[in-house]
Amino acid sequence: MEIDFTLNGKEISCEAEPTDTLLDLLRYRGCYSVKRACYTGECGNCAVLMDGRLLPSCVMPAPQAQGHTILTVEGLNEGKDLNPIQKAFVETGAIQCGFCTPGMVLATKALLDKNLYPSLDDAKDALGSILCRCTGYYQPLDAVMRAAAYLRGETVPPYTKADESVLFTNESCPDFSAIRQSVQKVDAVKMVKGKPVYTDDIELPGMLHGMLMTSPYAHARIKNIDTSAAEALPGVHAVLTYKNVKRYVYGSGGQTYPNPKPWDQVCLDNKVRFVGDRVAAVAAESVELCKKAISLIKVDWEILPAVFDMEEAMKDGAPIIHDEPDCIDVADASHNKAYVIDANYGDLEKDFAESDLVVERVFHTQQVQQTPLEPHIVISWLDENDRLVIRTSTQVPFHVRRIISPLIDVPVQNIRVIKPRIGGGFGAKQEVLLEDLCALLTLRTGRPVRFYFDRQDEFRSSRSRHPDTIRFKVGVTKSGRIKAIEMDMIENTGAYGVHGFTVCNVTGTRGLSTYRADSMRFHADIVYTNLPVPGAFRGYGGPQGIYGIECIIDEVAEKLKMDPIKFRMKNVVRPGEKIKIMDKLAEFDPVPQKVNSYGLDACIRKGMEAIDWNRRKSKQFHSDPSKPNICRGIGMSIMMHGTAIAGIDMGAAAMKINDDGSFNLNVGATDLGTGSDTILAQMAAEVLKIPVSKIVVYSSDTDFTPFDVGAYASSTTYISGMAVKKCAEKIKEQVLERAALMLQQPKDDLYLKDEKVYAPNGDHVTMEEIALHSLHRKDQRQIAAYASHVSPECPPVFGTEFAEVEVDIETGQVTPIKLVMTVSPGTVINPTTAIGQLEGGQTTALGYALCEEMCYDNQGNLLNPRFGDYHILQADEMPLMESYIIQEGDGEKTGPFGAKALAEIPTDGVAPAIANAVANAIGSRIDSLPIYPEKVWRAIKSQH
Amino acid sequence: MMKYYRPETVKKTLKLLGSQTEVCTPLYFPPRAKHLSQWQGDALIDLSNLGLDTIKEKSKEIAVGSMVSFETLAKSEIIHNRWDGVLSEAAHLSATGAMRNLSTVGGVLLNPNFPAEVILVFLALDAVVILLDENGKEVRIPIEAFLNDGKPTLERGMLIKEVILPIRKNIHCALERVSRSKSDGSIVSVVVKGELTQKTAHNVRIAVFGANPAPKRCHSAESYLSDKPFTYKLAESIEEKIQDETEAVGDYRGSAEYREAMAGVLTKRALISLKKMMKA
Repeated sequence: MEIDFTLNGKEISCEAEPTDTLLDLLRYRGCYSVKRACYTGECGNCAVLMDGRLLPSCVMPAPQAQGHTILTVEGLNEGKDLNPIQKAFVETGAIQCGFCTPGMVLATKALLDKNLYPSLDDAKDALGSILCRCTGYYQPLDAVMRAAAYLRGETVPPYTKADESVLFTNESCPDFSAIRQSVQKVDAVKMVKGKPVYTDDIELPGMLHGMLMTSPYAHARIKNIDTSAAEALPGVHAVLTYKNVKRYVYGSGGQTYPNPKPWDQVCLDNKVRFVGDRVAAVAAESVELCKKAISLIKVDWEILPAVFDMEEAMKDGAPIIHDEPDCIDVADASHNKAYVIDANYGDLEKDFAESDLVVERVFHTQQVQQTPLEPHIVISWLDENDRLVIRTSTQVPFHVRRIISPLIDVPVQNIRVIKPRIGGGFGAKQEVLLEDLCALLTLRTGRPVRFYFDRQDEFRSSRSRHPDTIRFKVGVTKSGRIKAIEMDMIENTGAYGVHGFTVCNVTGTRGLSTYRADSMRFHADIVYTNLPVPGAFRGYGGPQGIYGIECIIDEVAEKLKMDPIKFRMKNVVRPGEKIKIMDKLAEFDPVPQKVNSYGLDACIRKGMEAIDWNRRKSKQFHSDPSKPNICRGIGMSIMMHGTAIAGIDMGAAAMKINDDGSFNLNVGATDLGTGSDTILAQMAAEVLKIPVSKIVVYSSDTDFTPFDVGAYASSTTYISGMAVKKCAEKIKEQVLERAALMLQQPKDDLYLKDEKVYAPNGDHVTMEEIALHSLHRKDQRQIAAYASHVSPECPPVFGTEFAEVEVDIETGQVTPIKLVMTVSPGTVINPTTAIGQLEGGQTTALGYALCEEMCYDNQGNLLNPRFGDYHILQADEMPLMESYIIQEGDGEKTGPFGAKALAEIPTDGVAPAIANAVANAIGSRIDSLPIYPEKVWRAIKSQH
Repeated sequence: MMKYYRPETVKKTLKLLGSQTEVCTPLYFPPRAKHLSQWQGDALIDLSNLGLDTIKEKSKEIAVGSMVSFETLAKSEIIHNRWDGVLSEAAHLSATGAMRNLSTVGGVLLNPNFPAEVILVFLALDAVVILLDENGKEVRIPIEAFLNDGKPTLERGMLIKEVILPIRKNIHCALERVSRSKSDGSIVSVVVKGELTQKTAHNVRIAVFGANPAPKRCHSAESYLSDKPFTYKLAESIEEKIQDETEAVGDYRGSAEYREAMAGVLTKRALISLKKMMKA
């Protein structure tokens, strides 16, 4: 049917069906700012303004637009200039991955069009319509208030909130020109303008749609699969099953070669191992045809008994999940053990025997989903040279290329992987999840194919965080010295091994490296179950291990009647100390680790001050007679997280000069919205003493950028950054050589400043003059360089998390009142992006602590595969949050400009801080996550 | 191929809804949104041109049109100033702002089970649902009957016109809920209404979500409270009475035992809030 409406000020007329969503219609009309994210109206990333009202276009039939006026972010764009709302979002660092940004901008406009004096609660309510997984909402809230001020015509001072959160210890810190500056993100403008920069924002001629048929059963064999009816359907171009796809055993985790074992996956199998597992893949002219084709595929199933509990899975006689003869290096398939890890030092038995107090507890952590607002999506095609091009929302483009090559029988040299902007990753996209199937469909059909997950697929069939059962046992002397720590865990790796081994390694490392002890022992069973597959999730095992250790340490302190901070500081590792367990625990060969740069003492002091820790001692703090059902508590945790994987993670960079004195910086590093493109440009700018705006960054394209492992393990700043620094230093040498030639001065006497090279006598040449001279005038050469970096170190980052909670003792509801995080990541490159990382990570962790959980029925079906049922925190329920970055001296000597990492540590400490705060409030410890009301209620009931 | 109609009049709408040749589904968006593919039928009927999106205050009642959005309920001064703002509060916490703009009273009447806070308020206020039959004649159905234990149906050819909320003097309401986080869906919610005099609460209504298969009123507990001096002790004694009337179904949000316990706790709290209003 034809519909007429006004779109961004223009009257348009177009065809649409009631079964088309308004979202799809608008995207078809070129409004790529309107995002495909949930299709259930819950996330707001598709929100548009219709007659001034914010509405979720994904659940509205397209004909509803008839006669109305619709505004998307494209309609706000004022040529090159930014609308005041857009300007405010850019200035406050409210844009990380940018996927939710258009929705937030429109929500802000809807609010400010009615009220130019909004309260913070009004702003929270407005942004409460838009789910964000990156920011934690505080920078966007600042943007709303700032935009209001702009629109009121006020003079708005520079945004310095993030810079004010960077604190220095008394030691001197070096001065920089581009480092430690809140430089505007290089990609912020295009994202706030809603430009088509994400994977799905292209349309290719002849593009087909790809879709996955998934298993309705948790464990079953495919005795036969008949695709004839599907293939016969007009418009269906290819159907893939185990019958027509090469069987090549691999591991899909995006990790360094060779992928850690076990290898237990094939593209398409004749057995399924969880509800949502791959059965077949279809390419057809439309999404509807794909669904129809899938419905015509006939599968003859042999349903097998399934097992969902880790301990049951290890028992004799349990259903064997990996009974295929060709899986590689499964530790004990008959007991569903993918891997077993053992590491220890010292004499544990003796030390426990000699301890004055031994405390033991079992902790349970739950399975949670990364929920990147942009679901997994891949578009592949054959270019004019018949090379395969894969445009994908991935964190690991180089690993994708390498891993799929044998799966699809295309050599690496004929595969190009491009990562455009991605709408969040958080580890879910450290994976080869759809690329192999999409590529195969392109190869079979010769046509471009678009393959994506809808939100339900994203919940069921992508990845998540490993649920664990962890037993900690700690032995201490009565003076409070830890003698022994034992950590025994079972990790549920779901149906496939994927990241199971490496995540478990990190859980053990993080559980056992913060404190010193005379002896330690770690044992882990990584167990298969018939559940959807966990994988990489920001923190990568750290949240689970740190939850356990920080809770038991708190309990030990309580039993010793010691202040929990004093007890921790008595036992925490110190600069110069070796982290003994790291001699035994590693992905490949153990690399001994020592603590160098630190900052923990300053972190503790600031955290205590900011939360007003001493209120814990006061009875009046804990209970208020006017609210007899409320008890208050304060808790804390210490976090330590690694920086990169020592001896393994490698990044590289390439630079060249352009005629105007600007530079291209090509990096393999993957910007997930974290701002890595920006901070890498800052590093190059710092070396060359030029504005950041003179660096054009291009990243994550396997044809044009040098290798990088990708965005994981908190490696980008430290590893890729050092590669950039090294590269820039080589460029600097060439620039100085050329300047020496031009100025007829010794190179060693020259120095860079403000885009020029100066001689001691004041003579100078500009970078542009150098470029033109070297490219065109004399002894012509391209000023260019490559550099790589790998580090033998994995310098840990230290931080603290403090939490204040109120607990309703009648209902068990826990309300977080305030979170304070302090961290010492060495030199912070960009305070605004750094604070955004801290706030966003803490928000994700708060959901982990209080409400997020993937829940299953007894057939292995996920019960909550949609937002709303799987609740992630919204803007209108955020507690007060303060984050501080403490820089001590020069920072980390092995890092670029003293930098380490801060990407994952914000996810580590919130859960134990909340748990310890709840314990402080109610006097009982909750040893499983999430800490939801019923658990607390039961704990309180059991006291009486 | 699904069709789409946006009729200009109620008469035309009723004719479409009563069609014997195609199944026409009125577009009442519920606060828990449906994927577009979940709308059944041969045609969707857009009701936005029918003038059903108004709130009318009369002397003894307020008529809330079936196309009134949750955002309007949340922000309307007429609604906000009544019943201690509970209906506005219920609408506000039922969905995000964008979904509140889309969700309608008709939508929640046809999908009452989650989120249920607005339904609880309707139950507590003895709301009456006004339908229009195929001839345009009004059919009045008390809300409890309409909801049919959580399985409301709209007969073919009928349209929800509005909900009538009686206005009486001295009516006070309270809403209590428990959830994993402030904006998460409720595990249990309770709305209590009473017509309060100095010492007594009359016509007490207790509507509970989460402790039975569907939102419902607790009639026995209401009878227990009626015509008694309304004291704190009476309010506190309600916990056990409420639990006698619950048949909770446990799920991943909460076990049956917890839900039943919370129904008691939250009802007690809501009654204590009413008691404080009496004092005030």
